[in-house]
Amino acid sequence: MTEAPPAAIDVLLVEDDPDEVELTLPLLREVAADCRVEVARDGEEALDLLLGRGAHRDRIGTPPPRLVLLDLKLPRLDGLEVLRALRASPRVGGVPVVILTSSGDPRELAQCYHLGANSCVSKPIGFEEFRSTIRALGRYWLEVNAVPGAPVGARAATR
Amino acid sequence: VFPALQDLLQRPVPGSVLVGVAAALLLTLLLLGLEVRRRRRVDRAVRMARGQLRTVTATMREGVIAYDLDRRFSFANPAFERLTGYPSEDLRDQEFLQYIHPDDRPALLAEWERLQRGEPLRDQEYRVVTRGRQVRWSSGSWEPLRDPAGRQIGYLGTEFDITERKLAEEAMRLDTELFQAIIEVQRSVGAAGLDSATVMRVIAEQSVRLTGAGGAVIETMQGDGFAPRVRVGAEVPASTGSVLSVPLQDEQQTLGLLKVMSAQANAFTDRDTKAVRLLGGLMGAALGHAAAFEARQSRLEERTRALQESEQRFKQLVDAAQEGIWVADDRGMITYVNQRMAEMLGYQNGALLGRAVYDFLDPGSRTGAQRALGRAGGAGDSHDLRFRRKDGSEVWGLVSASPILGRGGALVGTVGMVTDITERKRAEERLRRSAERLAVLHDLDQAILAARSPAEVGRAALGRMRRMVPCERCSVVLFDFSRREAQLIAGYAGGLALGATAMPLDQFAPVEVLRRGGVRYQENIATVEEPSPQLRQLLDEGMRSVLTVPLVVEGEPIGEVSLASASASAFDAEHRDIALEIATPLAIAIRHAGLRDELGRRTAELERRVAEQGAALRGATVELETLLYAISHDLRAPLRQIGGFAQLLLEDAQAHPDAAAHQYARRITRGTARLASLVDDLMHLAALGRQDLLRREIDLGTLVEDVVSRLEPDAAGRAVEWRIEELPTVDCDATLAREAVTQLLANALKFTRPRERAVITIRTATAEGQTGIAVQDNGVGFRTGHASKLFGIFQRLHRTDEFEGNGVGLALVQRIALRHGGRVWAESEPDVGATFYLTFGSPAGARRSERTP
Repeated sequence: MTEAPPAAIDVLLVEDDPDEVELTLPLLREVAADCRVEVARDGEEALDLLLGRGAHRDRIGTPPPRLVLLDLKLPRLDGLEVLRALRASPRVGGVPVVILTSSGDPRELAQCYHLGANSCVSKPIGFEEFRSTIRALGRYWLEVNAVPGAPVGARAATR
Repeated sequence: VFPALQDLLQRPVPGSVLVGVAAALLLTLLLLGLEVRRRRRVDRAVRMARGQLRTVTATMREGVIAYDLDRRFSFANPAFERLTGYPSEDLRDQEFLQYIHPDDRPALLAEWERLQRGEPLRDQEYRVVTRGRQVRWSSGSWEPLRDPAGRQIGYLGTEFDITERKLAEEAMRLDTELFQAIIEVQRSVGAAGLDSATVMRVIAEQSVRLTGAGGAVIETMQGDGFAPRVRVGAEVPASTGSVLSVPLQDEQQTLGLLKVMSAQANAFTDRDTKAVRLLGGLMGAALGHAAAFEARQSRLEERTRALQESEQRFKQLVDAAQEGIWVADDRGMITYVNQRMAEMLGYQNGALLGRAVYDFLDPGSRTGAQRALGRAGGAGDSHDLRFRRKDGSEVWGLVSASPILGRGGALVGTVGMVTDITERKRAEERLRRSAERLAVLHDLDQAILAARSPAEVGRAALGRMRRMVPCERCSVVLFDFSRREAQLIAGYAGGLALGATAMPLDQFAPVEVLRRGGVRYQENIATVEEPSPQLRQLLDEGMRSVLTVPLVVEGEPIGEVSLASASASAFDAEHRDIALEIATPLAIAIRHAGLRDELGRRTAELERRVAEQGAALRGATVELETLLYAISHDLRAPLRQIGGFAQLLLEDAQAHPDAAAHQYARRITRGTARLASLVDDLMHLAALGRQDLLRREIDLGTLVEDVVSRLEPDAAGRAVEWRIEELPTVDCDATLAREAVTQLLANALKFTRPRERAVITIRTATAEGQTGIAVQDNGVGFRTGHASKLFGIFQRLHRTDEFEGNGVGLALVQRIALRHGGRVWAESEPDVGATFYLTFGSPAGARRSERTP
């Protein structure tokens, strides 16, 4: 992985809780079995990955992911800061970002949209509801939604 | 009244005026006489006119007569009666000529003819034959009497007795010496005036001198015979000498005899006879005049006496009158006062005479007096005037004055009448003062009611006090016995407000005296032997008398009110009463104001503390809500993970459904599901406090129907009757209202589950002016005693296995109600049903409650 130039990724999951990552990844795979998911454990790492900085400098020419799933509560740099910095980038600033939040705080939601979030999703507390939410997200953003450089329904074809 | 009378009596009236008046009257009389057809009326008028003419000409010395063209008398005045000796009744309608000496008649007739021809008039002298057959000389003059058409209807004549002159003229013809003697006699008679005794003596002496006789005697009628009245010279026996005797006669009768006597026989010549006859004639005339004068004099005296009597009666009447009466002349100088008037003013009667009425009036009443006493003030107008008595005290009089008008309407004086109304005035004054006192007390009561500081109340009271108790300086002082200090809270000196100051208590009086709280009155500070510092200060300020009344509340002196005047003994009992009257409510008002101040301070303190506590409480609530939110938020992820992994475990163990691990995983899943719902509700509840209310008019009917339709799936397979009555429109947050209504309806649905047929009624509820809904069910209900537990978080009245739920629902409803300023409560009977009430508050109430959620 370090030898070869890094491949493009489909989804960047920004989540510091490994258990949450452990629960989310299988659910994403249920929608798109072969999609490439990268996980960033904090805000700094997420920005490094997206902007091709620091340890991920080699990614500078790599196309941005089709979707960023961004938690708001993150170590080092919180989700809103990540969103702001991301949107400020001329190269990758247009990447679709879905905010995953635990609260329904209207002020927080408004702020997210103001900073350029494409969608905000409240993570349900029950596992079954969570599962259906993740499925719906994957189905929409990876199959329905079109992004530059990849044909619509590309993933559906691979399935 | 008197001056006018006296004036009338004393004023000389020119004869010509009287003749003119008489002519006018007579003309009227005669004109009236010509009116034959209205004879009876005319007769009456004639009689009246005659009476008036008589009155006017009664006192004239000239004889006044009137006669018609046939020379018949129609009128004669008393002077003419005296001239002829005939009463006017005898003269009436008699031919004038028959009283004229036959020798003089032709000349008179000729004169009349001249008059009739309209030629100028000439005075005529002719002889009149009197009733006593005497001959008297008269000088007559006539004017024709004409009617308005210019026709002559008669003559008006005046006759003057010129007998004496004629006799003198005759005597002059006889003898110059005699003439001169007669002149002298006349002068003497003139000098003697009308005193008959003197006249007689003069005549007697002159008779002796002119005839050279030894003596003379004048005898006058006494009873039936003659008796000597005056005797001059020697008495001569009648038998030896000669006696010359002439009668003394006036027009009508023989008054007496004049005798001159000589011891020699034939002593008297013809000249002597003439002289004596002349003297006798003179004397007769003089005596006649004297008698007439005396008669008139006696009539005058009689009239004066009558007048004096009537005046006396009047005076008695006036003196006895209860009213004061004065008479003033045209310059306003008093000419008469009655006893009562003098008493009223406290002077002797005489001290008032010659002074102006105005002098006795109080300066304040002078303007009113000018109206009352001036000419414009007609009779009947009365004025209340204040008089100043000799001793300086005042008397109130009800004064009515009337002008006394002389002839021609000229003001000759004023008569005034005064009724002493001092008592009435005093009563009125007392009434006015007591009314004012009442008004002041009322004012003070108002001041007590109004929220005012002690200083304000003090100033208000002093303002009222100064209106009723004249004083140069006044103050309200409050005592602080514990600090031995006095605080001046309000005061005025010479109209200027005194600044608030504090001074040691003992400056006023010994503290024991102040504690007793009595009234103190210094009539004259200058005479106080050891004045307190306060009194010394007042003395320096020019004050002389000081009245101090205590301010007492519930028996405790709290201060005092001081009134000071620059004059000694300025205050009387009434002033003291007023001061006390004002001091009583003033003390209470000050105490109240003080208490109110204190109350205000304490209330402010309390409010401050409440505000602080409220702020603390709000802070704590916000903190708590934040905490609750944070906890519930942070619980979510682990809870989901536990549930997630348990689920995954369950799916992995599906091949061995009987394995214990499978069972455990199921329990974990169930537990986390319940915990998840609880955390969700808690978070929701916490979020409520952080959310702004969006109030608007919401139709509860529509809302309820919507909620009911959404609840239909929960009621599937059950017999549920929804009775939705007419519901109001309320001002509330739509989302929260829906939440609350959903909770209540879901509850009703849940607890009626054991019923074969659930009946849920939704109707309007009103309480404390607020509207909302009532939800009544026929469910299992609860004991009303447990109602208070219903709305607490996690409070449940039923077992979880009977009715699902986590005890957050009704807490949520209550939170929503409270956020709206409304209320939620319940009534129930076990096994019968429950009714839940929810109101949303008024917008204003909601705003207030939003501040302190």
